[in-house]
Amino acid sequence: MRILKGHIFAVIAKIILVTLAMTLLGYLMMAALSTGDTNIAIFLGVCILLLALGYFTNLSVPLKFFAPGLMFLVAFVIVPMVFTLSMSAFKYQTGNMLEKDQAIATIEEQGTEPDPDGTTFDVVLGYFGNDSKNFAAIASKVVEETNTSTEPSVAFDAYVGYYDGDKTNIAILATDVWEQTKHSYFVATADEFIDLKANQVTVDDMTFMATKAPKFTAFTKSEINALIETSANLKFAYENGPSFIVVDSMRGKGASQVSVRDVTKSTNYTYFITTKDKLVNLTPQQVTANGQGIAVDAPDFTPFTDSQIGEFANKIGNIRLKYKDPYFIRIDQLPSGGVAFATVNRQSLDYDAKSDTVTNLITGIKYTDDGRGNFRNPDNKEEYLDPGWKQGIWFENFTRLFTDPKVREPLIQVFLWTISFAFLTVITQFSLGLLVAIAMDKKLRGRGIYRSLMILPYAMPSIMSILIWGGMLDDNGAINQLLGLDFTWLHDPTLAKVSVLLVNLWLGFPYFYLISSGSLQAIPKELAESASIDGANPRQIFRLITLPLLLRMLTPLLIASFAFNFNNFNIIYLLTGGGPSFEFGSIAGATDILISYTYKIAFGSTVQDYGLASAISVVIFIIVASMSMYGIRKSKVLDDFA
Amino acid sequence: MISFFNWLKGNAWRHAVAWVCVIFAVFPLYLVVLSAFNSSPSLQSTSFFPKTFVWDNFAVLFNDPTVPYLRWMMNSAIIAGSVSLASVAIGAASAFGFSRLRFKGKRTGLQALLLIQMFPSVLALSAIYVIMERVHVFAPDWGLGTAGGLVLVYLGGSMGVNIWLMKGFVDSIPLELDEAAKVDGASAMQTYWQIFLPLATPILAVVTLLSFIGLFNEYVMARLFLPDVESRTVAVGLQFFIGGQYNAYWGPFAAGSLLASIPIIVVFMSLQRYIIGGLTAGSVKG
Repeated sequence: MRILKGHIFAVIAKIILVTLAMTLLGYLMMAALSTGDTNIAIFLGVCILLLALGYFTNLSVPLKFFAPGLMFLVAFVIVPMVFTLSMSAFKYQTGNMLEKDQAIATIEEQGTEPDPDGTTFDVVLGYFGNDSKNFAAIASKVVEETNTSTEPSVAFDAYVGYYDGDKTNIAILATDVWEQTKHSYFVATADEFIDLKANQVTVDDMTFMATKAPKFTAFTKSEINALIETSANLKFAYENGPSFIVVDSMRGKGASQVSVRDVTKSTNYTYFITTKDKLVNLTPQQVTANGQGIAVDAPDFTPFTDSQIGEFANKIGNIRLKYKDPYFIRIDQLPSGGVAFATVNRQSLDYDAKSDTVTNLITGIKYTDDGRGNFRNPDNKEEYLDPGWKQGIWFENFTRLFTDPKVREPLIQVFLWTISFAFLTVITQFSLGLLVAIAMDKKLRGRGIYRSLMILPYAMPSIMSILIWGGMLDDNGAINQLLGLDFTWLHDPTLAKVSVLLVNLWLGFPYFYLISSGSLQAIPKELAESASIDGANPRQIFRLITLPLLLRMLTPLLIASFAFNFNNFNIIYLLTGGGPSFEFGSIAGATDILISYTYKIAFGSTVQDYGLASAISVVIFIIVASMSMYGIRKSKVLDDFA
Repeated sequence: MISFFNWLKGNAWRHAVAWVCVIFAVFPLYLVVLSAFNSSPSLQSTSFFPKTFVWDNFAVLFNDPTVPYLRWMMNSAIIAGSVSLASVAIGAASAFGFSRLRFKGKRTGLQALLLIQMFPSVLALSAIYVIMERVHVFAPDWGLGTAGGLVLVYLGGSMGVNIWLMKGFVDSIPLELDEAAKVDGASAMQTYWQIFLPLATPILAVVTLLSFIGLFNEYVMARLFLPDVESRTVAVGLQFFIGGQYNAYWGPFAAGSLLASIPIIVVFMSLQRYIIGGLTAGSVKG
């Protein structure tokens, strides 16, 4: 055999490859440094060092073989694993996800209260003076005021009645006796004003008042009397509005007196420029306003361009602009069409680093660090501030598994089902696989076809087959249809368990068929023959010779299969999602195994509790690892280690 | 007559078992084929025998612009392909190291590797998520939401299984060859490149294939990592047909699954002898 000792091409290829890898890692390291991801940068630096030591020195031969694999293993398996395991010592859940300093910053940022009037402004963002860092806003407030006069401007005499035959549609028929307006006669209802000509009305000769008009019917005396008490609430339209007519005095006999209340509208404009520390009031003449009267430009003020605003977009809620102390202005909505929306607030929560307390400036309550990741009111333990932070709590997540009934009860059920699920899966898969293997352990017509068809479930991508089974087991699915049943396979606790086992049997029996038939062939035929000569019947041979030998050979695989199914996330997650729930709203369900239950605790939709999930992960890890170690011992895989 | 009873006693039960199991095994797949060519959106048709034969469901996969099926297939092929190739290339060296080199801490290393594999990777999801979120900040092509990032994470995750699997194969290659090379003055590296790799090529191909199938089946991380419709893998993409709250479109799902499964089934069937050898060496398909 010829060995190409240090062949020149091999050496060149090695140098090029390793240098390329180191360059790439180096580039990534610099990028990581520039964004402040120091930990990642250090890791990449160590990788570069490992590559250099491994391939350009003869320091360690194993390093040459292990360096690349080790790097990936550490980065994407070991580090996440250690991180996850370490989380089990923390209170780390929805509401307690931040570091303490981040939580304090958020509390202070959100610990504000709007002013009692709920004052708001339309603002245009920009900068004040020449310094583009001097964040500023022009605030505009356009207030339309409606003034209603309390004194009558014109008075009329009128009959009260109703219009158009509808007694609820109260109306007046008024006459401008003193000819103060251009309306000689008119009918007015709540929302209609009908000017009438002299020829449309019937005028009383004595009073010169109109007494009849089309569609108008006067109330009788008793009807008027019934109305008098509420007459102050009556309002009638006048001309095109907004002025209106009120009843000054209502009389049952003769005409009532009504009069017009004038309504005038005016618009008030308030403008000012505000920066972090300065407030400059502006007159309407000083600003350039848009169509809605919102100031878009002013002296010494330069509006931001869209891209400049984009730079502020993330932290815009943190910017506080000056207003009347203790109130400040906060931008609550980013600009749309150039105009943003701002509210007036004041600080209500204040953190004091010295005493490590948060004080509510309005109520005076002092919230103290409760040692469990929150600031809490010492006088009312129920009251705490949100958000909290990640807090080390040692083994509390573990003790919760045993002491907190809300955790313990579902966990016990889930644990028992996990064991039964894994155990029953292995038993059923192995039994059916072995049965098939024994049945086919003989030259049989069509054996090749049987075999090919039977391993189809094993060859098919399992993710697809699980989903298809999900459809078949649906309430209206193929299984019910085929068997003429009306079962809710996936929604009844017991049937859901049966379904999971059935589908898993389908997925796994071909594998056990294959390995059992392989092992059957490996058992020497002489054993069976000699037993048969000694008078054993086939059943005895199987029970006393074949099965024990087979079990001995396959024990490691059975244990491995048990360990695999113990954590068989996909089938549970994709088939039943762990459901049906034990009770309405509970996280755990009848078919949840530990890993799917833990997944739901960690990544659930409402509450996410990483701390608790990590604690359960540790428990799962210990169980599965010890099981597998036992299996490995049994199979003596590790025995030949030097 | 007697010979018929003997035959029944001898072989009939074997055929009966085989028939029952074949029907059990094939029935769901038969339904998939049926639905793929059926025009109704449900998985079951009104009868279990084909009445209609239409290509509509395949048309949805290839003509509907909101269903970039070919892209999904490409994504799956590229991601699973590159990861399985790279992880076998990297893992083979480590497997060789564990099998043939003598060094301090070898036993500990192997045990550690085994233990690490026991950790349910689904649970490290949040940690991986946080890490890749950071990576995305400084290397936008390799972080969260990119195929590159998913490849890196898969690569890390598949390392343990593959090293362990391949170590079994390396162990089965006779030591005499190595020793002969050593006598000729070859270094460990040279033995690896010039003796081991040529010998192990078929085995490496099988491990690559197993790894490919495993990655093709991966769902949780792929779903978390690749939220864009365009960048989904085929498993995640097809799941959206039937994962809806109110509507399940089994037709296109069945058609898509069929197309995606056929190549894998064909390769699996043709290489089953090797694959089963590999599996009995101590792993269970994931």
